Amino acid sequence: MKIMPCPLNGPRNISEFVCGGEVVIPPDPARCSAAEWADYVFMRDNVAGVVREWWYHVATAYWFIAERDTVTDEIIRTYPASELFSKRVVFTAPEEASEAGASEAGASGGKP
Amino acid sequence: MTANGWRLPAPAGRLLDRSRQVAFSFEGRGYEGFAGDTIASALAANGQWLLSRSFKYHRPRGVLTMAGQDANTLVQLKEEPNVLADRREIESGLEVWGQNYTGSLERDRDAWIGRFSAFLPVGFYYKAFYKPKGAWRYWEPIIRRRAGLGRVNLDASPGYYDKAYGWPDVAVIGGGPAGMSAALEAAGAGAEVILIEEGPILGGALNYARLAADGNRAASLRDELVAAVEAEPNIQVLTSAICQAWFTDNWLPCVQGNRLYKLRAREVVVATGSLEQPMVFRNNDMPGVMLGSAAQRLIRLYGVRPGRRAVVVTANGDGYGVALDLVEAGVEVAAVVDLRPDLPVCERIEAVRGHGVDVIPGHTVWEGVPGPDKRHVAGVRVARITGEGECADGDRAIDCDLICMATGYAPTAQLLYHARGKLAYDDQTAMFTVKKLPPHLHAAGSVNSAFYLDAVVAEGRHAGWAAARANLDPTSSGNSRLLWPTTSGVLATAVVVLAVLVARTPTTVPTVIEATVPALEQPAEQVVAKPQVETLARRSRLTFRHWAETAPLLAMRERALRGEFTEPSLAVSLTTAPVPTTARELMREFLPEAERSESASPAVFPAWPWLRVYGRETI
Repeated sequence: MKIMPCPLNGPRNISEFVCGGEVVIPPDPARCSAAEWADYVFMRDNVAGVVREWWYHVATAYWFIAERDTVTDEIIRTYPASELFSKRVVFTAPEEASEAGASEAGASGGKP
Repeated sequence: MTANGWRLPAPAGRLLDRSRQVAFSFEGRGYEGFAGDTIASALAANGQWLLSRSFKYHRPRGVLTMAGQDANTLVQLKEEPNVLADRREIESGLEVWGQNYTGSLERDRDAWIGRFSAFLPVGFYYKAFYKPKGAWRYWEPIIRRRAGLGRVNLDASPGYYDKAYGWPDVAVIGGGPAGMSAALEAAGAGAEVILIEEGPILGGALNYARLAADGNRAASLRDELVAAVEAEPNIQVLTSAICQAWFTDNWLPCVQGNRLYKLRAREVVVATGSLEQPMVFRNNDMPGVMLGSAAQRLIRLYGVRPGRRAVVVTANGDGYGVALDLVEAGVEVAAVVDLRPDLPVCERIEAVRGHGVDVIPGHTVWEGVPGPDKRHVAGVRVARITGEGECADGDRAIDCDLICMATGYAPTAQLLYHARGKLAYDDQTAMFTVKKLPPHLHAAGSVNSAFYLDAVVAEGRHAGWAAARANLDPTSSGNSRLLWPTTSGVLATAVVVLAVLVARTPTTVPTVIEATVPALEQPAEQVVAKPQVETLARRSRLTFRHWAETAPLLAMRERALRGEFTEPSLAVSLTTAPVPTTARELMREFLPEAERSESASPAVFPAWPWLRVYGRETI
């Protein structure tokens, strides 16, 4: 059985973990087009190579991020999500969306 | 019981407890064996070689491997079908029956099916009896009765099974010379080791094989290694235990009796050895035809004479070892048939000739001749090999009741295949090797196609060292396939030697090594942090000792693989060469007080003769 190095609990059997899928940064729901939103909800890259994924340690209810190679099945690096999401993500409220227009102030995609 | 002449006197039969007789029954007749006998060996000691009947044609079946590696010895117990008679030990009152016959085992009424073999290709009845639709329901019970594999006892009582967990630093699989050497080396470096052995005792091939013309070499090495393993507190030994699989990241399920061990090892050394391969000729499935190693197991492990008059067919030196063992066990060896046209100069061949045995090179066995009762082999037909897959017309008949096949080995590399190792055949050496192993998995010994005893031991020690090293330093993948001496190894050793010789200062040997070896191994920009120093010092001592001790042997193995020397020169073993007193004194002078008592053990000292030899060559 494979070992997953959990940033919180150390190396544990991979059966204690659940994969949460690729790390995808959500677009601002108020501003993006329907196509962009559909892309975010339904489409994934499914890369053969190094991917960045959400993983969840069930016993301690801990979400973290793992980088692994889907070709060689090698776990390259795991780290807490705070390393990637260092800022609070604030989406604009739906009513203000039309007024704010193209202005980027106060909103960000959350990508560091 | 010895009256019939099959049981050999006391030195033979390592597994037997001759003070305890065990009575059991086979086919309703009472037999007696000793405690430690398997069903097959106890029956053989009573002259009963026929154990079962084959699945389809009801051909007679007897001992083939004596190692539980074949389906020839499947027998029926009261509670359990398909028991391997060459693995299951006898116990008092055990009732054993042959399998798959109609009437009696000796006179199977269904043996006539064999005459129609030409009309019954593989899968015949699954095609022929399925039509018309629904016909199978009628035919199945008839066919199942004739081609079944024992009866299942539906009233079998449930047993108690439990689990245990382990987290060893190093798991060594296989308790032969390579495995024991690896375990000792790793444990000596401070790793917690678990040693898993399939058989009831440690020793592997050393228990039964004859690895040199002198029959005592293997036994003395075995005693030495077993004593060392038993004295080592860091080694936990599991005997009669089978490692069933290798899963990702060294997760090993391992079964011993009714207990399942779930082991998660940091490093795994696979030293599972190799299996002798049967040879293909007509009637090679008759009782009386067995592997050379099976005959040796019968003699050495169970004290059973495997036949009265034998023919050995071989293509390597081990076949001659089998012939010598047979001669010593009182079996008349009619001939040794060697497939090779030109025989190499070899101690064992000369020893066999010295016993007046007819050695026939360039010939092959092409048929085993069944006896009048069709239940045991009664002779062989031998023909000259004229080309690939071709024999000369005229053949020669030799009477015998035992044919020993010693024609080659295949590595027992199943665990390595689990780890995606790739099997490759090397035409040059006529050997299989396994390549592309993942990190933290090491192979040593004949599973890695090392067959000379010294090389096997050296490889075991190397793998143990690599495992311990990787364990001490988690950043190292510890690839055991590194061949020594490499350029950096030579360079580092040369620097160490120079440092010791030039700077005959108050510095001690370990500090000199600490100063030089890590410096060579670490990338220049890497700064050694304080907590690492202890590990590095330990590792460098280990590295140093390891180079010194195993490099010449591994180099020898490489030369042997390239065919640059043959067996006799191996008599000059570097591990057994006497240590010069000057080297001992030199060592004492340089070692600090604490290290001296440890260094008095032979494990540390043989470093020095090699250093001298090596230094002369390289510096």
